[in-house]
Amino acid sequence: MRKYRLTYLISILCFFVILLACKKDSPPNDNKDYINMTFSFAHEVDGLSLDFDTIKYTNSIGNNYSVATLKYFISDIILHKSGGGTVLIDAEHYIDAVDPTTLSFSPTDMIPNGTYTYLSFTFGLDSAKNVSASYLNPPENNMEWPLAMGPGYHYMKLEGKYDSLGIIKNYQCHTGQSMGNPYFVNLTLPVSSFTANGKNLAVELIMNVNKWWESPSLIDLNDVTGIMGNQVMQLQFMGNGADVFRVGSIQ
Amino acid sequence: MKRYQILGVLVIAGLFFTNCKKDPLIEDVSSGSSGPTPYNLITPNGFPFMNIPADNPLTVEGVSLGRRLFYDPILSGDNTQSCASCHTQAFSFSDNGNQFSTGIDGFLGGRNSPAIINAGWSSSLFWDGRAASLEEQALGPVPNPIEMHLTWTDAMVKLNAHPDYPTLFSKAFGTISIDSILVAKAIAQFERTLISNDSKWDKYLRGEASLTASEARGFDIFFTEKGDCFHCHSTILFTDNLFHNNGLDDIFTDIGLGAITGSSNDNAKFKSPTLRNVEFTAPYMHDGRFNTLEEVITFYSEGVKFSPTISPLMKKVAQGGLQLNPLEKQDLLSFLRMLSDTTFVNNPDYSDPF
Repeated sequence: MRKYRLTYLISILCFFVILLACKKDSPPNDNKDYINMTFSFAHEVDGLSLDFDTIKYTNSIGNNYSVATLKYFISDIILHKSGGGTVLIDAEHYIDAVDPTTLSFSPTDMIPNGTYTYLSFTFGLDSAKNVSASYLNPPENNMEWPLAMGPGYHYMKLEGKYDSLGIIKNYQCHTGQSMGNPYFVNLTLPVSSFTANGKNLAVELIMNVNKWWESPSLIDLNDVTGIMGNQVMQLQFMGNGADVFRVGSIQ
Repeated sequence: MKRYQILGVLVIAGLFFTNCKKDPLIEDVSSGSSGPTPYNLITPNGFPFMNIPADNPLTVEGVSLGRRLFYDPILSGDNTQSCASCHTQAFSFSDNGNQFSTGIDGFLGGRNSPAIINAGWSSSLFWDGRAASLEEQALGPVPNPIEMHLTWTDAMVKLNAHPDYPTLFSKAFGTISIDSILVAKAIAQFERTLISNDSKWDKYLRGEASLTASEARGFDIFFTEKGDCFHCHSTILFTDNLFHNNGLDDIFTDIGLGAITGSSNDNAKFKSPTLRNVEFTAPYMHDGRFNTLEEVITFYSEGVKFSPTISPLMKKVAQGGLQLNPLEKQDLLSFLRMLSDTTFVNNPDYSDPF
């Protein structure tokens, strides 16, 4: 009898030890009225895969160019409901095209079931989020935009080389809050309808780098150097950014 | 009955160990008889989070041991050189103004000895980034035949026979079984305490100092695209901890990162050094080719050379550089001197304990 009592006591003790000593795992999403969404980011140049450090791409104005760096922020994803209303995913995410760990993003926000006609997001950081010293740790802190020209953080660093009449030159497409003026892009994805019905969804977003250089402003890479304080260029990239992304898939 | 009691205790103890995430600090602290004392490392406001390896938490005993090892020539083949021989505090832990460091056998190294300052925030070490941690870096110079030239096997013989070290390792790590890993861990612990944040720049940020007119103009050059220094020498650390070809050469004799990654796209890329205390760390660049900051500024102004891997951030390479006038060069120099932290180079906690 005492043997069974002891076994019973040990079992109870084990139970409480496990309960008290361990951190809780996140419960599975068993609320079928809501879903989670994951956003992944891919990059291309007019249908060609984005390879780095090789001059192999051509933009609308005829510059032959390479990409060495592509780093940027996206924020404030808005899901537009059929019949009106929106769901805001109030978050920001940093992407480095060569760092696979940054290429997907799973906000913690739960998305209510329903039919959504399209989604939109901010390319860069809106003024409320673009606050200097918000990011103390790498890699985001290396996106800082000096107070003397800002403040805040680069929305994007897109850098590389191009062939200018046989001479190889550098370009730096650095966008951000220039001289206190915000130029973040409110970017709408026209073909992005989906239905949330209890099953988590993955959204693939694809950036076409060539779109930065065209429509509505035709950009010559000879002009894309030292533009952080150039309000005209910042405005042009703000406009051109409106259609740089498309939806690859939602499933 | 007693057997079940013992079994019960073992089951419960086992559950604690198998079901819970380990706290590395507690783990190491508990390894000695009374255990080493956790070191309360205070990092400055505005600095990044310092990633400290879970298997090497800072302890008072570990930092103290690391400091002693850093300054002890016992780690060299002929007992004449320590880490501090080429990393001298007065020079912000760089090599006494030498272009290259001389090993115990008189051989010269091939690169300039980097300063050790705020190294706890370095994501890689050496000019070519070949070490991923301070612990890994610390394993290199001792057995290097052109540096301290002592095999780790022989180093262990010397340390184990020493009247103090077995006890000091026992206090720091709970073991008298000294090995190279523990030596590197102790040195890394000490190096993580080498924090500088008391330059005039820091005081300015804290509202304790104001800029002279020249410093203010230099600030504008540094932090605008006029000088464009801030992209590579970024953040509160004044380094992005990344690798760049800054246009020193058009033909490479040292391919830097390229030799580590094997990618020709990385040829001639070297790690951006911090500019904190740059006034104390001459000569400059990975090969120490420039003796003064004036020479460095002149290079960025007029001496930049194109090569296939030159950083896209070198915007005015076609013009040979920034084309600064004499006043602008002087102003930039004034700003760089604001980054000097004499408190750091005189801090008694970092000095030779012998």
